[in-house]
Amino acid sequence: MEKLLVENLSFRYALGDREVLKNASFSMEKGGMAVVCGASGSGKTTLLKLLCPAIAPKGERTGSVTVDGRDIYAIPAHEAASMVAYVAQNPEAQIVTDTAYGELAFGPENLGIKPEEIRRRIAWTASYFGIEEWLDKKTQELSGGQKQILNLASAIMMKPEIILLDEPTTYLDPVMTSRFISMLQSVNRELGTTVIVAEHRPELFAGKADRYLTVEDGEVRDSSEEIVPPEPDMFYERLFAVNEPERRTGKTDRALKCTDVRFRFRGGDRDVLKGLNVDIPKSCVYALLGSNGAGKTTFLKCVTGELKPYRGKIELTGKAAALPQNPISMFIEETPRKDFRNYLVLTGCPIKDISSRIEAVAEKTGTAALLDRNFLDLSGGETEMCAVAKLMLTGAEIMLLDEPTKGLDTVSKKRLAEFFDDLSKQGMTVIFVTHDAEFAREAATGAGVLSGGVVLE
Amino acid sequence: MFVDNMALRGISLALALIALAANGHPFGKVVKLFLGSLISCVAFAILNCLISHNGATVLFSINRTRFTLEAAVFGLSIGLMLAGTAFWCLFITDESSSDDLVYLTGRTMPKFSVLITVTLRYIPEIIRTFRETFSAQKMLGVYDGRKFYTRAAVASKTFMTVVERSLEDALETSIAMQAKGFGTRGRTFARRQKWTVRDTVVCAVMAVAGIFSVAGTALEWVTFEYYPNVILYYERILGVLTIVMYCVLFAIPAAVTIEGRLRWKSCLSRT
Repeated sequence: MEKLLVENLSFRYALGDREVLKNASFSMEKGGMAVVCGASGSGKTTLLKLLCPAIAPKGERTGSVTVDGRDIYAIPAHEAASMVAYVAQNPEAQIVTDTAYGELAFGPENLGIKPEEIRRRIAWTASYFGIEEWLDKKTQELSGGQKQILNLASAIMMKPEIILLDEPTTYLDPVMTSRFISMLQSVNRELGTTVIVAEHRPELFAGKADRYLTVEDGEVRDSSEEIVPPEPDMFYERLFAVNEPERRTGKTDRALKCTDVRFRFRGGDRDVLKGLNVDIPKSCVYALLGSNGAGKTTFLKCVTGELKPYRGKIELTGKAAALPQNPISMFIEETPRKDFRNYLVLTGCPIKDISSRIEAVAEKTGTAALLDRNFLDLSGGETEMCAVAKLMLTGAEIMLLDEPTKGLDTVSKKRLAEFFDDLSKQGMTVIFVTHDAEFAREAATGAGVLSGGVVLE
Repeated sequence: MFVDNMALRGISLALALIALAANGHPFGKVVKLFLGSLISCVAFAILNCLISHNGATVLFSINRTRFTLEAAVFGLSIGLMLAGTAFWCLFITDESSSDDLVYLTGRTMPKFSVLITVTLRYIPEIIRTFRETFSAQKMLGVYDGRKFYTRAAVASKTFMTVVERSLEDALETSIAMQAKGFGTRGRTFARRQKWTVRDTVVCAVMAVAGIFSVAGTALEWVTFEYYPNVILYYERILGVLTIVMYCVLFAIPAAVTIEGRLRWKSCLSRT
């Protein structure tokens, strides 16, 4: 018998005017792994939430969801919570407690499980996921990847039969993404947990998932035949190919030159930047890659002047402005238009020019339709573009971006790459630091790797 | 600490410094803290002399304004109280974790302990987000060359925005809580700490010493008068007992810490 059976599931939100899901039907065997793909807003998250009664959205639902032949909505709440676990997209927001230990214990405590049993489960789970050394850590001290592993571990603490994950790798760098997927595969294969994961990059699960479901306009269909595993490719060769002379043709003027830049945080610490040299031409889209802690963000902060190197020279030929990792931190008003207006007033722009400047920048960045929408309603990609628009309002000629693809789906990344190309054609220089080698290959016309405190090209 | 008695405030400050030293703070740092507290005491003494002119012992007068010994002592006493409070807070921060607090409330009030742990996560998170947003605004140049009130208005708007966004994130946290079965049945509580007989004994001693100290000061077995003259009054038996109990109460943290260190050292010496 199937572990999970979904039959003719349709759903309309309480205030919605259309069906978000239309007669969705599929089944899962015990220990299976399915990837749910589909564009943003296609209904993937709604489908997952409807499989977990504790967080099912309010609205009109028809059809049935059964686990081991039992209607999931008729099962007592605490039993359903231990049967189906859910891991959301944002690793930060779904953590409840302040310590990793407390977070692991939180779920089983809610289910009234005896403390001795919870302690045993924590010991086993920590050992299984290799997270023993951070059990005593504050959750705020963990990296994004560690937080998401903690979320997966705390879901496993409930001993679920089915685990649902909503785009769990969106905020993770490629190294962490790969580690997270391997862990998920272990959970699936070794613990026999049925896994359903919504993902906008289904190819990441090639060879790991049993089946693929695509949600399109609320309809769910099997698309297992359509997924093509990515071809093996030599990483560094692909990356440095962007430095080939033909892609840099005609770019002789200089935007940024760093000579022997050395930086350390405190007197006794080691140097983060150890005599860094880099020469970036004008109108170039330059990608700087490197592992976690390599000093990429430190480098950007030195360029913007937020940090001062103790030795070396940084020459910028033009005004530079930086976009932080979290683009929403650029805004303090509810809508982009209000925020842009407030910014221009504060920076002394004549009142009569404000509207025209906003419209001009919005047109260049393709954000005209977003100007009056609340930031909370914008997607990651849309917020990123609004942040870039704000950078353009500063009159900067050199844009520095810290991990611009964090949290973006494939479509948004493609748009961003095209936009960088447009900016470069308009004479602007774009320098971004990233983990995302694929994006760097797509978007950049120059690239380097920051390793051992120096840039290698 | 908050008792309006300079002698007791002095005892509290001295024991706080001993507790900090026992807790592994380098001797130099403790001396610096002590000197800092002396400076703050002197500053408060001068400040109070400038504000208050009560008291019988005139030290000197300028333009018919009297500067009295009693006013200086009162200021000194305020300095002792503030420094003592700060040092005890530092000790508590060093010595106890949020886990301890959650443990203490978890068994009797499991839902309240969830509230504590959620708050303990929320506060640093909101501070981090505020710093991030503030730094982004600064980088955009909104603070450059602005008047103080404009900068204050932007900073306060930034804070309000961060709070609003954190409430939006809280919705996601609440979904995660529901997914983990929060509120579906009675909570249990699993922590690694264990309540021992030793904890009961220490708590009992602290309770007795605390009650005696409060009673002794409330019933004026020990009093300290600042005006018109500085007088320390204490009843022969009960007053002395109150002071002893007060000392016991504030010496317990240092004693427990020293005992732990000695035990650790003796364990090391055996291996």
